[in-house]
Amino acid sequence: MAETIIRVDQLNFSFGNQQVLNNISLNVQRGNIYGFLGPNGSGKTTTIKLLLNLLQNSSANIHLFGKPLNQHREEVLQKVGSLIESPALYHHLSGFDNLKARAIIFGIHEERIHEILKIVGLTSAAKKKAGKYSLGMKQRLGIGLALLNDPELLILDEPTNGLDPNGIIEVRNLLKKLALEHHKTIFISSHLLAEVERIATHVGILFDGKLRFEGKIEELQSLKSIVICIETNNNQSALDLLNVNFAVTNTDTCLRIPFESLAQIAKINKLLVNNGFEVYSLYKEKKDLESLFLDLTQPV
Amino acid sequence: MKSFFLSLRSEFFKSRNTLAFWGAIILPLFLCTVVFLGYYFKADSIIRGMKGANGEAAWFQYLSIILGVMGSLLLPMYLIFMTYSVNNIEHKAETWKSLFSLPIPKFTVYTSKALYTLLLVFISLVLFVVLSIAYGLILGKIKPDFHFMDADIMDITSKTSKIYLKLFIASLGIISIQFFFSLIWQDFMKPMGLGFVLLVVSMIALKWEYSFLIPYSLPLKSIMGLSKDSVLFDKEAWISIGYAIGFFTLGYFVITKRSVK
Repeated sequence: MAETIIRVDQLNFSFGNQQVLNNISLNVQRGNIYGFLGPNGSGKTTTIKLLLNLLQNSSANIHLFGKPLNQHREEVLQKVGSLIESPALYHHLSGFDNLKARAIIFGIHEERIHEILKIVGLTSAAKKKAGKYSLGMKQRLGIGLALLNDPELLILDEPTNGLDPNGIIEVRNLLKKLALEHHKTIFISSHLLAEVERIATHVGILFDGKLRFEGKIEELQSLKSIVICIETNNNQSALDLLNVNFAVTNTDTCLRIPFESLAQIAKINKLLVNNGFEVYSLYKEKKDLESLFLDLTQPV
Repeated sequence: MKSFFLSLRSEFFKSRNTLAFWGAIILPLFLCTVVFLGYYFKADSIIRGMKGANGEAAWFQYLSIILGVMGSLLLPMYLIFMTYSVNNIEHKAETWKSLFSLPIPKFTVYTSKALYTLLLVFISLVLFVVLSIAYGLILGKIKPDFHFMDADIMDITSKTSKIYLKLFIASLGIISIQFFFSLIWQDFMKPMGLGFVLLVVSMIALKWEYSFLIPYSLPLKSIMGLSKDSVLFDKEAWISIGYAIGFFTLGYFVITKRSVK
C-alpha cells in the first residue's frame, strides 16, 4: 500500500466565531496529484495554511509523512515545498537572486539554482528583475522556489490563478512534468474543476468548510449521470405533456429527463410525435463535471 | 545555530541594493564628508573659532559636530526609517508566509531578522567612528593648524569608539520598538508616523525629570551627559537594554502566535 503523505483527521478551524473548516478529513498518498477543489471562500487556503503550520492549530490532527505536524514541524516541512496564493517574490532581486536568497538558507549550491531555472523554464530570464516578470513567469518562479530543496510533497495554492491561457498551459505542463519525471506528490488547490480534471489523479471537493467528496478522479467522473435532452417546436407544452410520466427539468435550451433505457427514448419520441409536436433533437447527454461540481457545491 | 547564520546571510543577500542597507553606509559617509569639507574649506574661520584649542580638545570640537547632528535628530530618524525598511522587504513581497513555512524554527527566522537590523545600525556607527577619525587624520595632515596630530590618536579612537558604542546601546530601545511597529503594521504611515510623534514628544519632554524613561530621548541623553568619567552602562543604557529585551521578546510572541496572513 502506498505511503500516506497527508492525513488530516476531522479538522475544525474557526476565525473567532466564524467556523471556516468543519470536520475535514483528507488522505493523500505518495505519487498522487491531489486536486483540492472548491469555490472561492470555501476554506481551501485556510486548509493549506494549516497544512504548513502557518495558522495556529493546537490539536494534533494533521499528519505529514506519518508524523504529527505540531510536534515535528521542521522535520516534516523539510520535505515540503509550497506556494501560497500569489508567489512571494522580492521584486528588487532577479529571478536567480530570489532563488539564491532561499538557497542560502538551505545551504544549497548554485548548480541547483540553475537546475531549477531550467525545470521552470526561466533560464533565459534569470537575470531579469522578478518585478518585471509576467504573472506566468512569477508563478513559475514561485514553483521554482518551492522546488528548491527537492521536496517530496508540493503544496500549491491556486497556482494558475490570474494567469492567461498560455500561462495556465505552462504551469499545467510543468506540474505534469514534476509528477511524471520528478515523482513529486502534488497537492494543488483550485476553484476551476476543468483545470484540476486535466492533471489530478485524486480529488477532494470542499464547500462551505465541509468536504463533499474525496476519491479518485474516475470515481468523480462515474458520478456523472446520463440525461436525455429534448428539443421541440414548443418546449413549454411538451414539458406539460411529458411531466405526467417523467421527471422533466426545463433548461434554457432543452428539456432534460434522466436516462433509463433506449426504449424510454423511443417512448418519449412516440408520445411527442403522436401529440403533434415537431421533435428537433433527441439525444443522450452525459452530465459534465462542471454541472456535477455545481451540484456537489450547492448548499444542502 | 547553522540555520541561524545561514538565515542571517540570506538577510544580507536579499537586502543588497535596498535603501535599508545602503542607508547604513550612505548616512555616515555623507555626514562625515560634509563636515570634512566644511573643515577643509572654512579652515581659517574654524581655527579662529577654536580659540587655540589643540590636540584632544580640537578633536572633540570636531567630533562633537558629527555626533551632535547624529545623536539629536538623524540617528533616531534613521532608526525609524531603517527598521521600517528591513521589515517592509517581507511585507512588500508577502514573504512572511513563505519564510514561516520553511523548515527552520520560527525563532531562527525572527532572531536573524532582528539581529540583522541591529547589525546594520552597528555597521553604520562603526563607519561613523572610522570615517570621522580617518577624515580627522587627513585634516591633521593637510591643515596642520587644526593641531589634530598633537593628540594621542589611539586614545582619541578608543574614546570615540566608546561614545558611539554608548550611542548604539542607547538606540536599542528605539530599534526594538520601531522593529515591533513595522513588524505588526505593513503600511508606511503607522510605524513611521507613530515613531516621529514619539520622537517629537521625547524632544519636548527632554527636560522632564523622568524623561530617561522615554526610549526615544535616550540617544540624545547619552551624548548630552558625556563627561570624562561617563560609564558605558549608565542608567540610560540599562533602560534602553530593558526596552530592547521587552519589545524584541514581545515581537517574537506576536509574530509566532499570530496566524500568518
